Amino acid sequence: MDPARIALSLTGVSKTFPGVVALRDVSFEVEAGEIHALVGGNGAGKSTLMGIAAGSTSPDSGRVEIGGEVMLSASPVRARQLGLAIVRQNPALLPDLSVAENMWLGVRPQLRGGIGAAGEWARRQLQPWGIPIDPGTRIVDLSLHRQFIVEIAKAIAIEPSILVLDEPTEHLTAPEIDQLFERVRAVRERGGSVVYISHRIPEVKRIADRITVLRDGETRGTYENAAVSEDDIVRLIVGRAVETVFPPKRADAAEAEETAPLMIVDELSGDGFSGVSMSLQPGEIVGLAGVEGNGQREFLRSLAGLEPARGSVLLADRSLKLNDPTAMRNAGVSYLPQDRQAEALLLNMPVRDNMSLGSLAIFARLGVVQRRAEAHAVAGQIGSLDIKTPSQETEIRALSGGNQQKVMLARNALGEPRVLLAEEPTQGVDAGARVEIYRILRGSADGGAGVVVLSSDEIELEGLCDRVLIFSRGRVVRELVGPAVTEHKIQEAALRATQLRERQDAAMERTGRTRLRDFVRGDYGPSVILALAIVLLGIYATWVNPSYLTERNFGGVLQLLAALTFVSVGQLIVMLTGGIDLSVGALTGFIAVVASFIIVDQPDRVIGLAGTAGLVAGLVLIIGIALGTGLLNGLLVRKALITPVVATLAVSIAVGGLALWLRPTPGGLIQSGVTELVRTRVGFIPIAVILAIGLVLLLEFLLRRRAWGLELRASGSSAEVAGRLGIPVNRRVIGAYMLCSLIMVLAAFMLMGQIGVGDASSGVSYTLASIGAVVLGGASIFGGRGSFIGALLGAATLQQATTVTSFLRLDSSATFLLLGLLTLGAAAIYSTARHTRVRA
Amino acid sequence: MRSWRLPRFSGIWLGTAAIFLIGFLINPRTVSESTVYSMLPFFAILAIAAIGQTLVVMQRGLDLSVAGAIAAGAVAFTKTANVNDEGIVAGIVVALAVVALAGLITGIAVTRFHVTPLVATLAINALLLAFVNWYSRGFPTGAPDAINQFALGRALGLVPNLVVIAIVLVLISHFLLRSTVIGRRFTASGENPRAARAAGIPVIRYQVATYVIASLFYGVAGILLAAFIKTPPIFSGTTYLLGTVAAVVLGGTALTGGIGSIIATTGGALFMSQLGAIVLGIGLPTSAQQVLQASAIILVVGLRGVYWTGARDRLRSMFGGTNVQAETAAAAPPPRTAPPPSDSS
Repeated sequence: MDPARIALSLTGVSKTFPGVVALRDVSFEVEAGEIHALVGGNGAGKSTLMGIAAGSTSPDSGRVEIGGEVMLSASPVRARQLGLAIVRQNPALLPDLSVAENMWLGVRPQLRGGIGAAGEWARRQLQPWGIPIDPGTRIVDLSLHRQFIVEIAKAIAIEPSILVLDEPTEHLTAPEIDQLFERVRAVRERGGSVVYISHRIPEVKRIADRITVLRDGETRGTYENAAVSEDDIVRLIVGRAVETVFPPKRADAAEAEETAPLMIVDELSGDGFSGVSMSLQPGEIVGLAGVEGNGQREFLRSLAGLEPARGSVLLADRSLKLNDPTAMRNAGVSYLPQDRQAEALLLNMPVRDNMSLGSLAIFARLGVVQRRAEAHAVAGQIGSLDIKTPSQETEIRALSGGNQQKVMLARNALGEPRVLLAEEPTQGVDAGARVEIYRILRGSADGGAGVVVLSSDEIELEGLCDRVLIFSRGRVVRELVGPAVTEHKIQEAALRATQLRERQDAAMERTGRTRLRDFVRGDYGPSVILALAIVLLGIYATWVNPSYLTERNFGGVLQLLAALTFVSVGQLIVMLTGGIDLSVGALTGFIAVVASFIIVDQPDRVIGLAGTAGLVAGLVLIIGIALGTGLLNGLLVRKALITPVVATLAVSIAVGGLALWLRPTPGGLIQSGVTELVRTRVGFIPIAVILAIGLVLLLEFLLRRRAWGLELRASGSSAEVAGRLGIPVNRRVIGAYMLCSLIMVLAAFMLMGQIGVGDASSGVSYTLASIGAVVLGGASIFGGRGSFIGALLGAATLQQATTVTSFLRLDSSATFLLLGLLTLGAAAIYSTARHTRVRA
Repeated sequence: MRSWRLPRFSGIWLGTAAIFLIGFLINPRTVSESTVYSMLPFFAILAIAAIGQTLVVMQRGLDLSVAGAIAAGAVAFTKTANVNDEGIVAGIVVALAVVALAGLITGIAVTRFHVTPLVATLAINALLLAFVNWYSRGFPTGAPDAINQFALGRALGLVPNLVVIAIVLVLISHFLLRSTVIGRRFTASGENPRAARAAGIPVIRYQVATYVIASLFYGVAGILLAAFIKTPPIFSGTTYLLGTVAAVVLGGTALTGGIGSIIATTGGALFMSQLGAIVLGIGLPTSAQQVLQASAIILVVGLRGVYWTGARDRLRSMFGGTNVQAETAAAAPPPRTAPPPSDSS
């Protein structure tokens, strides 16, 4: 074959994960201008293989070539440069950025044009899909299905030479699948290649030129589409060698039908599944099967109370309370999670604490855990389940996956459940432990419990289950009983299901409430609310005390506002990266103190500088101090990985201490020229506030319309995704802390103008106020979103509240009260609005 | 003794021993009877407040309302008692009720309204300061004589009463945390809230209770502070925020939550108190004390972090990924498919 026509080639690739061989000496070649399907059952190694091609997973051995270039090490950025675009099952999008911004960041500069046109450009890319996706919408506000379309549209917009689609139709409806196929064919027309990973054989037959089958991490051959039938492909996928021994199943399956069911699930619906009914006999093991992502997982988790659901679940004729894991557990429903690290293990705790977590009350007398009873029961389980651990005191992280899983099974067993829900009970477990886990599960059933097992391993289901329910797109499409429970039948039912997703997008109601919520969640919603609050407070104050509306009062208020605005703007820059800077107030005071020794008219006894020389030296010094403090904060956060709160709190106390050390009491008269400059007004408006507003507008422009702003928000929204897109996250975040501190120089000049002397404690109150202002302005403390205009209005609201309370002759406690209430209230409203996500 | 805790939580006692020794070498007077006796009551107050901070940190939070709660406790107590021995009980009840309410609001804001602990406690701190200002009408009041005498007294003429109270509270808390069903579930909820929830533990209830109980400890610290110095300035708690965070961090409780040791935190509190005594002992001002204490935190936490960064970067360069902060990685949604373990760690 002509080597120039090979777009992607993987040669002799192997990859082992702990306990599992994912790929064994796989070779795979894609020609330019073909649609090449990669098919195989769950866990066949398809996604791992493409992860290696895309540079996100490094192979143990083997060679990857993209467009004739050899990949020397795994690097997603390099793979992308070579023209490979991958669409994964969970989209790599930045949740807090808009659709247009995400697409803009993901595309090479020569293709995308300026950000100004990004919205229009994104709209053009999305238009053919026939779904109204507003390019201005944040990703987090899109349903998973729309996120997927954005991700595919983004990948195609790159004009890749190789486009990899990993199970692209899982979330799509029939017309969207047609649309996808049309686009995929367009890539081929252009001379690009497409790798199409799928479980769904009917779809593969429609679109592919060639088909490669993977099974158990090995290729079963590459075929011309026309040369193989659906049946041929199914035969190639199934038929794995069975090396595992299963315990005997329930002997009297027929008789058991007559015993009263233990659990009855009636018309249960939730996210990803609908109208599922099933019954469970005592002593029975029921399997849940289906292609990954068809609702079986969500169904099982809703039985554990962990996912929202409606419908009814009866356990021994008693109705169970849904959506409440504690109630489920107390009723006797016990759950074994799939994701051990995230949802089961207490990694830093001993085997004993891990095992007894679900059954502490059993070992307790008057609420005190009886160590001896606990240790005895744990030792019993370690013995009977043959758990290999040096002692009960060993931290569970030191155990192998199989032994960890046995500890989790023992945790469930000690609680003596009536129903055991096991999600992928043997994932990441070696072959020996697997056999024992099967024995343990069967043992629970024989002891009278009902067991529900979710597994993506059809052989496991065949060997273990008395009955299997097969899910497709959220519904049970087949039930296999007794001798019909075979790997082949399960695979066939799952692979050949043509069930399509139902979607209620069109019917998604836009009620008044959601519109209000969208408004509050928007970038400028909070600003409008704040502006309104400022005006109303002003009207009220004028009504009570007419002298409020004088130029004299206004000028003074605006002067104070300038200082708070500078501090808030700095705070927001840091908060956009997902951090926080508690040192802003102390730093401002410290800078003013340092200035009070140098930027003076009467030379200090020790320093001896004054006038212009003092001003120049002082400026250099305080700018250096500011940048140094910012750099220290940034390094502590990004390099020493200290939580931003602790890092900046410590720096704040240190800087504040230094300031107090230098000037235990206020002193040092600042140059009169400087204070006068700060106090200069145009009409009644101080130039300081003009400068502050100018800075706000400039930063807002940079934030929305320049790569720096997008990258800053991207780093805060998801450092991981941002890194994958090639954004220099460390540089952006550390830079943000430095810029924040630099702006504190301006804030410090405002202080000097107001007080005229160096006062170490003068800046302290700014820290809380700046956080309050930024939160009021709608910024998310988790990073990624916020607006400088919002911060300005937040600062103005706080300033207005303070002014009004003083005009109403309220004491200073009212100021604190307002600050606290406004911050807490705003945070509660915004956080709650953001927490309710759009589901579809 | 359980071997798995020893290395992590015993280091602080070596550090504390070292700080006493260093102090002695710099100036023998820093370990003289009078210096130690003047340091101990403040150590006791810090240790009590630090129990609360430990509990919050174990639940993956950080409490910035320590200063406000201590000041509120002190003012509510002194103003209610109004220099009157008969008012002591009423004063204690009012003080504890005020701080418990503050903790309850924090807990509800954090769990039900999804406000981050940081913003919630910062805002509550402002509300508590507002309360202090309003309730005190801007000027301090003295503590009743009886409680002042008690606070100045020594049990058996040897151990200051405040230290006795602190030790009793520390031991009780430690016992509850380590040996009761509630304490064990509490620890699990902090170590892995998702796992605790999947195991049927009502995690939200535990989190709300954490903020209430923590606030009660700050309140007790405030009452004792007022009792000891008789007439505290109205905003008396300010130095205790960094003190409690430092005690927790130096004690070895991870800021990412999970297992913590109140006894080790107490060691951290002793370290910080003696460090402060040394700084004052060699004639430096209180401001220098702040600088040194802050530097101690940066140094200790920083060294721990740098060590891990190195290890992580090595791992990451192997997989060509980028450096991701621990929190963001943990907050990322779980993969929907079987996670190949080496992909992200």
